[in-house]
Amino acid sequence: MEARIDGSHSLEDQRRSLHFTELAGPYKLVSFSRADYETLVPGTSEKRPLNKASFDDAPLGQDIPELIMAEISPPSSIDKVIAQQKAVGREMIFFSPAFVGGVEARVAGFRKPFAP
Amino acid sequence: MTNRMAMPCLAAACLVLLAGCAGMNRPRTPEPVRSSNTPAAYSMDQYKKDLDEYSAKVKAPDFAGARILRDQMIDRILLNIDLNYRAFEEKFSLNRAGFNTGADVLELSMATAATISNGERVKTVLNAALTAVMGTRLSYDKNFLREKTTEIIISQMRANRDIITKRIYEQMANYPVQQYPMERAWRDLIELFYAGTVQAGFATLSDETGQKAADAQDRLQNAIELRLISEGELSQISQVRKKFNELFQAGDVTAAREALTELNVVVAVTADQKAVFEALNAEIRKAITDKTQLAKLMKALKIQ
Repeated sequence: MEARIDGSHSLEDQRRSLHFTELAGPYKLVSFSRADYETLVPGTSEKRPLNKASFDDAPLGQDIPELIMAEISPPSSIDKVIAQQKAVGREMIFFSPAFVGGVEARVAGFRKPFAP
Repeated sequence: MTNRMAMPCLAAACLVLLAGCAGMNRPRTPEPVRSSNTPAAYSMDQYKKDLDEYSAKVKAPDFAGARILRDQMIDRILLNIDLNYRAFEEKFSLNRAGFNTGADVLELSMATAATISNGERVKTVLNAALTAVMGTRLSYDKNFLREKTTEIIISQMRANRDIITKRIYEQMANYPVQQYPMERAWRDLIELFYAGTVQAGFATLSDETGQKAADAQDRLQNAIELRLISEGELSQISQVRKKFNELFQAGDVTAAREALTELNVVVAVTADQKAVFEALNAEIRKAITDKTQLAKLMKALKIQ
């Protein structure tokens, strides 16, 4: 499933929306990034920053691990964040540019693996 | 050899070579397979006769008989379109190859004649003519064939036709005349005919190029817009999914059915366990876009 999300929201707001969608699906988020362009708000001439998300179907009856998202900006580095998350058993799902609070940032997503 | 003789001699030699190439594209076509000579050739009179018979059977109603007749009519028209298309494809390919080879020959002949000519004026005239020939060829390629190779255009026409042919066969196999009447089949057959034209090939090729850019935009425009979710809503959907998983793992179809009834969803008595849980899950999915669905789910699943 493809979804779009308003990039002017905070990272936590966007994380809640994405994880809510995963739980309601059930889906697993497989990618999250800024759209290649700004999109017009239907019926207006207003443009806004948009992020796009792709979900795969998750099997019925399985627990959906919590989604963690982090903005990677100096002095933290992606290697450091991956190491921290790996230490608690989480794997990286994506690391891409995305809008956070209307500004482009680098965002990574993590979660514990789904049960086999 | 004088300059005056050079051009005709070169052109004659090339024509001999070209004539030798003409019969090299395929073996001799058997008589019954020739598009102009096939026993399947469908005359307008025969078609009208069949159509009248088909209409009578539909009115009778003799749907089984009408279906057989419909399929026969479609098959005969398909065969005609196919045979004509094959002949056209071959002609298109040969004509273009012929044009290109002819243009090559003309260019080479003129260039050679210009080189071996003595007079400056002759050289100038031949070079000017050569430029005109090269320009004409470029213009033909650019304006008529949009600088696409014959193989690309043919391959696109074939792809277009395959999609429609497959659709027609699927409709014939799956639907009786009430759902796929001859009138609808006729529309598909016309579409099939036009899919095998150079214009349709270009249109799809051009569509595909623009499509990639448009696809990304469409996907985003058509994608579901995720709404803002509160902490409370996230907690509720977690409980809903947890409850669903408990019922699913326990195979508690009765509880799942009760929840569906509470949600005013009708599931057939004969529906199996998989269908019941899929129906319940579909209700949970609605919460992605419908803010009011969560409260209904909490109530239906008896979550406090």
